[in-house]
Amino acid sequence: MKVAPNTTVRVANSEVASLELDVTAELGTVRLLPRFGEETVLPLDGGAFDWPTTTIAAPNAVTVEWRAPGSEDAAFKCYVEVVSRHYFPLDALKGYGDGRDDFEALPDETLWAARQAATDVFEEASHRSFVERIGRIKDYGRDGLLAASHDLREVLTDGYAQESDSYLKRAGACGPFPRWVEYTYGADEIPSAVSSAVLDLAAYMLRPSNRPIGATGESTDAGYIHFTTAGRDGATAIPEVNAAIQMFGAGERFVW
Amino acid sequence: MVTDFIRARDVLVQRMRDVFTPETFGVLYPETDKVPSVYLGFPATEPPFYVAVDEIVDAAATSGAATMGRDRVDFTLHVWLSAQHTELARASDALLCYIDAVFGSIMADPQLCNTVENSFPQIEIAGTAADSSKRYIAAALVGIECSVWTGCQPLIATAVAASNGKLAR
Repeated sequence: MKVAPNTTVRVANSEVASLELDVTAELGTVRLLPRFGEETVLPLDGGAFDWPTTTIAAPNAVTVEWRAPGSEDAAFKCYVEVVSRHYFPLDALKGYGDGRDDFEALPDETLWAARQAATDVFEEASHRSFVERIGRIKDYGRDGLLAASHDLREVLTDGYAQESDSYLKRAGACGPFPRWVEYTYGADEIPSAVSSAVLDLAAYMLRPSNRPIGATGESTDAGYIHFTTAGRDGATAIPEVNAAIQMFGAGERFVW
Repeated sequence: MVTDFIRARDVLVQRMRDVFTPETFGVLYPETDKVPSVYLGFPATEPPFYVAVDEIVDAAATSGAATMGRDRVDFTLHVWLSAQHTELARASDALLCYIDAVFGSIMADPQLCNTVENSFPQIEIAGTAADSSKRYIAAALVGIECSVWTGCQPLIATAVAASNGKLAR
């Protein structure tokens, strides 16, 4: 799969992935610098390398340095977020639609991007992650608790402690401010309804639009037909996905 | 007894099941790889590619007698055809192949295995539409006009004669 420089892709240890940088320069090796664990240098085969699914534990954040042959300097960088699994396997998207979509004819990059986009939309709209991830929040030193992500698991930055399922508090000397505070968060498992909703959303994203962009309805001989529109009738244009977001999401947090 | 309607319909259903197979339809129409499922009656959970034979006939009528006591009965069998796809051309191409296959199936034996005297297929309505899942639907209704020379069943004739007898008294 081709990745652009200075972008972040999500890789799951449960799924084999071959990464290739989308540049014209000739490259020889990559150096993987994980947030947790030892750095690794891997040779490139045809410009690509297989992601080491068993040596870099999830969750993790890895800086990938792409180096020219014989050089130890980074010519390009990209970033990989490592999780334990994706919301659905890529094969599920390839076979989606009972023959109505034929997504298996599309390149893996396209399918991968659609899965990533659908995952991002679902997580943002539901204010939750259903896999363990690394999160961070900036502490400006003001009084009060820090609102981190839901399903908080472990605080990684010294001087902070977990106050509740989604809040942090300072516990000792924390300055100087502002300061990034890191933590891990995410639900233990992916409900099947969530998996299926993200799959539906990814498939919907892959289909070209069959109506004018921005149209919210149309008049017909039978009357006015209202289109379900993302951002107007919910986070997505699919009511069933919006229902899953509402059912499994954490909702908005308000502070009075 | 089995009526002419049911006999003709059952022959049509069986013919659709035997034509819309990978071995026949799949080989004959390389323009599409969407071999439809065949149903008697409208499928309850509408599949993406289907051919459904209406379980009842329509527009049945008698007309001029062919011989004494034997009328010509005309009726129409209906077949729904539908295909859905992200690409409009693939949905419409699949549908046109379905229509062509239905027409060919009738022309191969217009007597419908000797259940009717003759039959003629025609498209009654057809069209394409975009749906809310960003796919396209192409659908058609094919009517197969059937004609059969038939007389009333002896048991009905007996019952009618008896009924007339009661009125005569």
